Amino acid sequence: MWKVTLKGLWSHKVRFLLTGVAVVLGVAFVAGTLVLSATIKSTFDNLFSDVYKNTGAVVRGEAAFKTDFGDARPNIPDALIKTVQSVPNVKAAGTVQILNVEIADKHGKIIEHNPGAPKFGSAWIADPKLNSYKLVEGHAPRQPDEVVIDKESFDSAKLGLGDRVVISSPKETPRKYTVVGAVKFGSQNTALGSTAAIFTLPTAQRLAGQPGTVTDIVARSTNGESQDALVQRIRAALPTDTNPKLQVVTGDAITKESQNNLDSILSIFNTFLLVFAIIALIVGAFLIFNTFSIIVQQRTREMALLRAIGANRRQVITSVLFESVLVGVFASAVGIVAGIFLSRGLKALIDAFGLTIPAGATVVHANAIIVPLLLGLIVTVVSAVFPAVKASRVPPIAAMRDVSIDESGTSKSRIFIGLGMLVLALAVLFWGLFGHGGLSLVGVGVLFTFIAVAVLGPVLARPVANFIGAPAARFRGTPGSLARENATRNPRRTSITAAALMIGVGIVAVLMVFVASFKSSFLGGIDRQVKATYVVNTGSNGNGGFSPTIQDDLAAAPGVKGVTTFRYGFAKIGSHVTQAGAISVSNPGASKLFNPEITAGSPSLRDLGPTGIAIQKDTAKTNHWKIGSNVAVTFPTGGKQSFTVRSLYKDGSPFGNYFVSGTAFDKGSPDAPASYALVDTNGSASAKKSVEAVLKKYPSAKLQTREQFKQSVASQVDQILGLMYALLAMAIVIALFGISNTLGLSILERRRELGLLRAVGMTRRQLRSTVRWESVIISLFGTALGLVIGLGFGWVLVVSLKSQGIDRLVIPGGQIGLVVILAAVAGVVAALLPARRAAKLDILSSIATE
Amino acid sequence: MTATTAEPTQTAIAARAEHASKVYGSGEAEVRALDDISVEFQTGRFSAIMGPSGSGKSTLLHCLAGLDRLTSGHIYLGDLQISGMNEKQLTLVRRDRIGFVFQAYNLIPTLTAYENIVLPMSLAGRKPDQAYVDGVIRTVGLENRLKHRPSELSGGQQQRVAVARALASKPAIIFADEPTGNLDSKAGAEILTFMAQAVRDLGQTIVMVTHDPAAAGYSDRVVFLADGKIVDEMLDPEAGAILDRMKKLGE
Ligand SMILES: Nc1ncnc2c1ncn2[C@@H]1O[C@H](COP(=O)(O)OP(=O)(O)OP(=O)(O)O)[C@@H](O)[C@H]1O
Ligand SMILES: [Mg+2]
Repeated sequence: MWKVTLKGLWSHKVRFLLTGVAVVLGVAFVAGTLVLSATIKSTFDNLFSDVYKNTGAVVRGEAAFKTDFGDARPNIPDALIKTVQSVPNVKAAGTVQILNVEIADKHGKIIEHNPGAPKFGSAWIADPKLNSYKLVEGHAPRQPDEVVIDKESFDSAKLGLGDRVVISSPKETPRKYTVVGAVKFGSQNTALGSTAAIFTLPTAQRLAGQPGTVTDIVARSTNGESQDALVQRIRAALPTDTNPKLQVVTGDAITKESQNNLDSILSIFNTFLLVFAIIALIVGAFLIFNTFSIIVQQRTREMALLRAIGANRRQVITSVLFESVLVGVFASAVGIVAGIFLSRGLKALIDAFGLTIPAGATVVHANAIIVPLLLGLIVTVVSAVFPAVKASRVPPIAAMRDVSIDESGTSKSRIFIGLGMLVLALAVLFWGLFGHGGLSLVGVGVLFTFIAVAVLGPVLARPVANFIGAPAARFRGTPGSLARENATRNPRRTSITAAALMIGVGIVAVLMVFVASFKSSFLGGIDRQVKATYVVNTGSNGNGGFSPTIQDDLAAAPGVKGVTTFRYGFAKIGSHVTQAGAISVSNPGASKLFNPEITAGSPSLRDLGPTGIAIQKDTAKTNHWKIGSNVAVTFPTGGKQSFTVRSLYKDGSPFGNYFVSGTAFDKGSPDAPASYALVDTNGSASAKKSVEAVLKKYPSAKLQTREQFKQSVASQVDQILGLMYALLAMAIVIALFGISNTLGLSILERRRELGLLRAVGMTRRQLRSTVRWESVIISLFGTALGLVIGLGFGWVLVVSLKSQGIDRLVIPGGQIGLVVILAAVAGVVAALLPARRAAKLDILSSIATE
Repeated sequence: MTATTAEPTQTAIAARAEHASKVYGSGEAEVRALDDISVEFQTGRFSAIMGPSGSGKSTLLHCLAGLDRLTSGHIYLGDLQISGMNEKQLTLVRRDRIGFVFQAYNLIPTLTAYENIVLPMSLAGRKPDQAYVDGVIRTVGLENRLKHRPSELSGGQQQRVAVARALASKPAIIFADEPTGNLDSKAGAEILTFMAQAVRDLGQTIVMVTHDPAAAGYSDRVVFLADGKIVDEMLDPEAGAILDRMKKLGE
C-alpha cells in the first residue's frame, strides 16, 4: 500500500508541487510573523536589559491608570533626588524623558536616522553606571545651553565639538545649544535608530515643560546588597505623605515591566499580522481540499482497482491521508524556512508603509517552528480528510464510469445545509456586531459565512458562471462557449476554486466599503467643523506635536484673525482610558473656527470651567451620562477628580470624544503638546507669510490648507489600507495558484477531448483562449461572490459603527470596477501555464489516452 | 460502380502518399511503421485500408490526415502538399478540408449533438450550409437527438453524430479509423451504410481503416498493408474475398 502511495505521489509531482505551494505560502506567512515579532521582542528586551543593567531601584510616582502603551504616571518632585542620594551607600540620579526632541543640523534640517524612529531628550546622569549612554567625545553638559548628542547624529550631521545646533521640544520652540560631547549607547552609535539629545537637569526639565520634577529617580547600591534590600532602605528614607504617592521598585522589576508593556503592544501587532496569515492558510485549505478532491476523482479507477483487489476502506483512507501528511510535513518545513526569510520581507513591507519598526538579528524561537508546522500539517490533513472518505466510498464498479463531467453537488440537501449554515453564520456575526459578542465572534461569523457560501457555491456555480460567461460565449465564438461549458461542467470544482478567491476579494471589499465610508464621514466632519483658512498639523508621522505657545505667537502675527489650538492627552474617564482633548481660543470673535456641533447644554466649549467636561452624544448615552452628571476623571497628574457634564456634541467629531477646559488640561497633563492649530487669516498673501514666519520657530508644525489637511488625514488612512491590501495579497496569490492548479488538473483530465478538438481543427491559439476564458470566468465568479459578501459585510459594519461617527455609507464604485478588472487580468495570468500546457498536448497521444 | 471509373472527375486524386516512410525509434529498437509507401486515393471513392494489427494502418491514416508527420516522403491532399507544413497550417487544413471519425470518444462531452456536428465550422467561424447540414442530420436519423449531450446517446448514436460531423462541413476527404470497431454488427452496418451513401449520393471521399472484412465490403477499393508496405489491393471487393485475402496475409 505504501509503495502505491509513494508511486502515486511521484507520478503526480506537479500537482503536489502546486498543492504544496499553497501550504508553503500560508505557513511561511505564519512563521514569518512569529519570527518577526520574536525578533522585535528580543531587540527591545536587550535594549531594556541594557538600559537598566546597573539600576538597583527606581523611585517613581504611582500609576494613575493603565494605557495600551504602559502606565500613565505623574512626575515626582526633583527634591527627592537629594533624599535618595543621602541614603548611605547609594548613588542616585533623576531622569527626565522627553519625546520628540528635534535636533536641526547646520542647514536647519532635522536629523533623523530612520523615518519614524523616536527622538529622545533627557537629562545627563553623572554616575557612569546609571547612565546607559557613554561619552566618547567631549564632556558632559554643564551649562544650560550645552548638549551632548548621540554619535550617529554627531557623525551624520558632520558636527564638531563647539558647533551650535538648534533644538526644540513639544513644549519649547527652537533654541541654540552648543554641542559639547557625543555618546554611544553601549557599543552602538544609536539606540535602535533613535536620536538622543542630553542636557543638564534644569534644561531637560524646561524642555519637558515640567520644571521642578523628574520622570523618576534611578539608584544603585555601592555595597553589593540585594535589589530588594536597596528598595527597602530607600523606601524607609522617603517621605510618606507626598503628592503624588511614591513607588519604589527593583531594577529587575522595571526591566520586566518594560518588557511586558512591549509584549502587549507587540501582541496587537502580532495578532494583526497573524489574522492575515490565517486568512492565507484558510485560502490554502480550500486549494488543498480541491486538489485532493480532483486527484481522488481522477484516481477513481485506481482506487476502485485497489478496492477490487482487496484493499479495504481503511487502507484507502490511510493511503490518501498518508499522502496529505507527506505534503503537509514537507511543505510546512519549506514554509518555515521561507518564513524566516519572509520575516525580513514583512518588516520591509511594514517599513515601506511608514511604520518603521526596529529589529536586530533574526530570532527563531521553537514556537516559530512548531506552531506553523502543526498548523500546516493540520490544515493539509483536515482538508484531505473529506476527499479521502469520499475516495473510500468509491465502489469497484466505478472503474467503468467516465468522470469528466460531474454535475453532482447541486442537491437539495446541499441547499438546505448551506442556507442553514449561512443563517447561523450571520446570526453569530450580528451577535458579535450588535450584541456583546465582541470582535472575535465577528471574525468567526465572517469565516463561517464564507464557508456557508462555499457550501452553496456548487448550486450557484452553474447559473452564475453561465451569466458571467455569456459575453465570452457571445463574442469569443467557440472557444468562448467551450470555456463557459467547461467552467460549469463541474460546479463543485469551479465553486471551491472560486471560493478561495472569494475570501480574499470579500475581505478587500469589506475594507473598501469601510474605509470609503470612514473617510467620507471623517472628512465630512472636518468640513462641517473646521472653518479655518489653515490648519497647522503635526509634522513627522503625526508623532508628538508642537509647543502650545504657538497659540499666542500665531494670534500675534499680522493678518491673523483667530487661532484655536487642540491638545490631547490620556485620561481615565469613567471606566475608560481614552484621549481627552482641550482647546484654547484666541480672538474670541473668531471662535467659530471650530464648530463642535453642540447638541445640548452649554453652547461653547470655552465655558467648561475648571471641572466641566463636554462629551460626544453617543459616548454619553452608552455611559448613561446627561447634562449635569458627575463623571470621574483621572489625568496622569493630580489624581481622581469629579467633573460635571456641561455640553453634549454631535457624534463622529474628528476631534475626539471628550473635551475639558485648557486650565483643567494643563493641570492634569502638563507635558502634553499641541496637536493642531486652526488659523483664520484675512486671506492676504502677507498674512500667510506672517504665519509661515511664526512656524519657522516650530519645526514639527506643518502649515496646511483645509483641503491639504483633509488630504493628509485621508492619506494616513490609505497607508494603513495599503498595508492591509499588501498583506491580503498573499491570500489572493494563493487563490490564483488554486485556479491555476484546478485548470492544470482539469486539462490532464480532459486530454482526450482536447486532442479531439485539436484534431478537428481547433488551433493552439483557440485552445489557449478556451483555457484562458475558463480561468477568467472562474476568477470573476469568485470575485462576484466575494464582492457580494464583502459589500454586504461592509454595509452591516458601517451601519453598526454609526455611533462611532461613521454616518455615511459609501460604496466605492470605481474601486469595485477596478477589482473586477484586476480579477479578470488575474484570471488570464493564472491561465498562462495551464493554457500553454494544453496547447502543447500531443494530439495523437491525447486521443490515444484510454 | 466500375462503369463510372472512366469519368474524368473520378480520376482526380484526393489524397496521395509518395515514398512515405515513418520510423519509430532507432538502431535495435527501430520500427518501420510505414516503409516507402506510395498510394493514391481517388476523389468520390470509398476506400478501405486493411491489414494485420501493427501493420501501419493507423499510422498511414494519421499521416495522410496531417495528424502525424512522415520520417521521409510526401503527402498531398489534392494539389496541396501537407508534408512540410507547420502546425498551424496543418490545423487549418484539418479544420477546413478533412473530416474525422475515430473509433471512440469522437465527441466533446460538454456540447450537444448539434454543436458537435457543426464544431469544425464554428471553430472556423463559418456559417454552416444549413440545408446541407439538415440533410446530413436527416440521413443519419438524428433529428430528435440534436439537443442531447453525448452522455445521453447510445454508442451507435454517438458514432452517427461523428459521421454527421465529418460530413457536415463538406470536407474534401474523410478519414475514419475503425469507425465501427466499438459497435455491434447492426449499428456498425447502419454507420457503414451512411458512409457508402454519402460517397454515392453526395460524392464524398472517404478513407477508412478497418479490421472487419464485412466493413471493408462496403467500400469500392481495399488496400492491404503488411509490415508497413502495401502488399495488395482489390477493387469492388466482396467480404468473402477479402476474408480469404486477409487469411493469406496472416500466414
Ligand atoms: N508512438 C509510437 N512509438 C513507437 N512505435 C509506434 C508508435 N505508434 C505506433 N508504433 C508502431 O508502429 C507500428 C504500426 O502501428 P499502427 O498503430 O499504425 O498499427 P495498426 O495497423 O493501426 O494496428 P492496429 O490494427 O492494432 O490498430 C506498430 O508496430 C506500432 O507498435
Ligand atoms: Mg490502428
